[in-house]
Amino acid sequence: MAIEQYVVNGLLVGALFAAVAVGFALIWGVVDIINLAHGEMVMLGGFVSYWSVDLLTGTNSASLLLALATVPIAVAVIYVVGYAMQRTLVSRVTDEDMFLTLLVTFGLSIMLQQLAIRAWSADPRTVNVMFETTSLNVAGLVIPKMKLIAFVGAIVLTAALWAFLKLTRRGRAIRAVAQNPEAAQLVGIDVEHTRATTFGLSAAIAGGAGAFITMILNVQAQMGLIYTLKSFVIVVFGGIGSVPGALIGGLLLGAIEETTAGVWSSKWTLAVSFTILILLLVVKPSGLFGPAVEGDE
Amino acid sequence: MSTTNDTGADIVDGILDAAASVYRFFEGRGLQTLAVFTIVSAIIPLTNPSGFEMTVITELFLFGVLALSWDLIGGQTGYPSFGNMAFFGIGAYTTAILVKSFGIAFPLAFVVAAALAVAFAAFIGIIVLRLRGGYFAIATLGVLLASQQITRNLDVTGGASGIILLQTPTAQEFYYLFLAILVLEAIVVMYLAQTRFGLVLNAIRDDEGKATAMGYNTTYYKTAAWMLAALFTGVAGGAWSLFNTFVDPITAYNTAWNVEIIAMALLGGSGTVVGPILGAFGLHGLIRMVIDTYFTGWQLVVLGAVVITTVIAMPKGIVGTIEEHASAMEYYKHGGQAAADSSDADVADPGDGTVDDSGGDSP
Amino acid sequence: MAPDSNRRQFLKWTGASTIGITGLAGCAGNDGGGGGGGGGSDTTTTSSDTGDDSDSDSDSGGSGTQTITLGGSMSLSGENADLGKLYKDAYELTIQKINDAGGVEAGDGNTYELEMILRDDETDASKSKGIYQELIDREGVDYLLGPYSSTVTLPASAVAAQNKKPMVEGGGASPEIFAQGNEWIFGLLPTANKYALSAVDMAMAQDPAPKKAALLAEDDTFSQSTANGVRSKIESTSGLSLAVDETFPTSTSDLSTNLGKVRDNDADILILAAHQKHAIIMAKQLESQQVNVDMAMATVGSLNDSFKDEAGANGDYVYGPSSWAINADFEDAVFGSTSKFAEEMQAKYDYQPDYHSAAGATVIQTFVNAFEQVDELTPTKVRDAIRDIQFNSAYGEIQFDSKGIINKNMLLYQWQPEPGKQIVWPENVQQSAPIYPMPAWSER
Repeated sequence: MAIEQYVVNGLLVGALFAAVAVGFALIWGVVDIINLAHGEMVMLGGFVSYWSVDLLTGTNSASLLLALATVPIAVAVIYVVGYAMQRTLVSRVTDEDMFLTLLVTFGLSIMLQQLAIRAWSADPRTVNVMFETTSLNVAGLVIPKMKLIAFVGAIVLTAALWAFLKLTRRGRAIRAVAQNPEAAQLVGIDVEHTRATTFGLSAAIAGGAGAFITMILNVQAQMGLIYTLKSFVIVVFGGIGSVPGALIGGLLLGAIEETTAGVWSSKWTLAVSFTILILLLVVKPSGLFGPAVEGDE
Repeated sequence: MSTTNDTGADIVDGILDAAASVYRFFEGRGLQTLAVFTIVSAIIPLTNPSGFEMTVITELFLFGVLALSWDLIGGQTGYPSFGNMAFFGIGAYTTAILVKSFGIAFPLAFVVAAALAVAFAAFIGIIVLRLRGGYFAIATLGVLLASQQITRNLDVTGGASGIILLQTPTAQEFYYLFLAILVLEAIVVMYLAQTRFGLVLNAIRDDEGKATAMGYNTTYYKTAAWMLAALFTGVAGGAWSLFNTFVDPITAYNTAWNVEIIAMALLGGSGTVVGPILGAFGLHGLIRMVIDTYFTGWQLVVLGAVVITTVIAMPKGIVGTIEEHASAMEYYKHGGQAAADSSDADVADPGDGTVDDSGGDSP
Repeated sequence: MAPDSNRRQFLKWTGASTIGITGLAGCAGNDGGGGGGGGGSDTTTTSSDTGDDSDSDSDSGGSGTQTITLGGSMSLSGENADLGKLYKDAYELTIQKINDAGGVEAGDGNTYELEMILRDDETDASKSKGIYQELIDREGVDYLLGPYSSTVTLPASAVAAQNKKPMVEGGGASPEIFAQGNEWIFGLLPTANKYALSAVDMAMAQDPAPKKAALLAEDDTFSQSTANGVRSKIESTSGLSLAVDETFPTSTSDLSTNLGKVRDNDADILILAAHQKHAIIMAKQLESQQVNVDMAMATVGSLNDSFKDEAGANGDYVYGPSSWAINADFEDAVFGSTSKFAEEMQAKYDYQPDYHSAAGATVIQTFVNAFEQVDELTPTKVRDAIRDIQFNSAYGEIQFDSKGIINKNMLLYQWQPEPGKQIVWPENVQQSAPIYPMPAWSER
């Protein structure tokens, strides 16, 4: 099999990693929190999509239109979840040591996973999107349609977030809070609300990615951890707080993983990813695009 | 101190006062307390407890070692490692492989396992100890995960199935083994905390830039602490692999345990000798005695909630909070103004909480 | 002042958390595990009448109801809770029926009631050792019920051996469990390396027989054991070669690259050694990666309804092994027959049992059978009785080999569009002929 196929496979799925990582990068850069429950936002978003389809059709099959419609629903619902999480729990430890926030978010991640299992069982779920033919053949490469759509969707979500940060008032407020909370407060920005909004947005994008993941792969109560871990790698690569960095990082990680699987063996993909993480931290901890929002740490 | 307060707050106050008095009694009597603890613990097996009780207490010692080791690099030096369990796993696998495939006797296997863990720490330390704070945490997490994955893929480690050992020492021998490791480590940490070594570590935690500016070779101290933590964690891992008769990648390179030991150190009070041990005994005891029995099916949820609640309500951990309270009261008793919120080092008391030289705890 | 507000915060938070958790315990959770907030079902103790929780006894002589306590752990929470429940339900129903019918008439002349203590091990291997030790030491249990999942069963079986108590399990199929020289463990599941064999046999009996096989295996211990079985089988099958042999990490969801390799190597048959999550993904991605194979099977997780619900039409023609058929016709001392067993399970629990349930019921029956054979109830004598045991239950013919493994082979099922799940191999018990080869995606 040609190496281009591996790279394409990797890019397609890498965009989704990127969309997840973007939110992670944002929280870290703006609120200075490493959110170990981030993967659970992906999982919850996926379940929102699944149950929406189930509610509307009684099955797990959906037309493309319906499936895509569940994405904004997931985004909205998970936004609320993220906002609430920050406001009620995480904000209590924001000013404390970093590893206290790690512990709190870890505790949250456990609870969310377990509650999800309690509520929906551990069975994996998936949304089957109906197509006449499920994949395309382009230049000898096999490209599944849904993956392509998810790829585009992930890029759209990421771009939307980036535009929001750059162009809107709330976005500027977020960046202001990231750079200097006290000054932002003096200027009249509601810092707490801004932080919670950031958290909400970050979770929302992850939730949207989760909806797409449910359509091309599946959703399961304990799927979150691996996305959190991959987000680490991506964010370290791209730079904390940097949206373009996370995007490129995600695409690159996906490509590296699939190429490793194709050329060497899939059993080494994770070992390779984590080793890259360590190397990156040593070689260039501030990432490709440097700290876009805050100083290091 | 209190203006218009409900009885609830007064009760808490009262409890803290009592605890503070207890604390002050033990302060400065570290070695004696440790001696008493050792004697009491040594006697327990002679009273013929059940195998279950022996297992649980042995586990308490194990977690005490792990939490204390973590605290050495995390709480004392300020480098929160999410990858300490990598040393545990290396110790566990080395011992298991040596004992099973090469028929090497346990004591020798331990020594080799410890040496390997320390060597690994030195090697990894060159890479990760350059990083600070969150970066360091993630790097160590990466080390742990990479180790887990690699072990899972290799044949010599038994791959995903791990290694099984059926001929192992008795439960009583394990009990004393873990007790010995814990007491030994406690003595070492207690001693170091009082020497310049410990003070430099704390200085690194409080402000590494300043410590370097003062002329200390912080790299040396950091690496030493890191290797020391690896030593005890590795030995604990080796002992555990035999104790458990079974090692596999997920339990030996246990990411959940890594977070648990951090929680234990923090909940107990990091930066002290007794804090992590107390936290380990408390949290693990709570899990085994209460949560497993009464909350069957809800263990993890309750654990998560306990972690969240304690972190939010008592960020300094139990011992830390008590220390703070004790110091605050001292100051107050000297006729000063009502003690303001002492967020860190207290003004009146130079030798206070951050470098703890008391070792009081109760089995 | 700050210290005051800290205290108030502390109280507020402890209060809120307690209420919050109790509230969560109330609304979340659909099966009967709810015990949040203390009390409730701590451990599951079953006896047909409430009252004395006496421990096991091995006294002979004397009349009056005595009890035998069976103890063990099971995955009652966490990701395997659904399967753990199947065992728990089967245990409870079997014990209840036995007790209702008067109890166990042991070979020592006494009648005993059965009691069970079942703890939750969360499928956590590090917990199982402590749990079984506690059951033996604190609760005085002499007869152990094995847990679910090979990783948990391994340390548990070591405890059984060290304490010389017999353990019968219906949930651990890894051959390592039985390769340790452990004389106290007995397993009711065919070992993992047998799981895919009947599929290969079936395929080779077709015309045209496959030439190239592809194996994709998850990197957990069970799947790797299954994969090893496949590799040896293919090696010893002439005319069949292994064209693709790949392992992937459990947390990997995307199989596209590996399936691409299957496609590009023109493999005729595909064997997936993994679990339900990957079985569903395989079903989806076989289509989206345009992989056409004559046979696709998953060693675990492709036969339950949940798989078919999620995979939909993509799940058609997929194969899977099972050690038990619900429409088999075995006599059973407790339930009467396999079909009656299925009926009673359906009636009491409102679901159709699968091989986990049948194995669970048989775990209990194995002990009971042994109790009936011995002249004195001691762990060693019971163990010896189990070694020589031979009886029928709803699960099938029960007999153990010298390693403690049951003599049983896997049946091969296939999802067929019209009739649904059908036994297609071996031929002497098949319900329908296998639809082989699998129709190409363009024709579906």
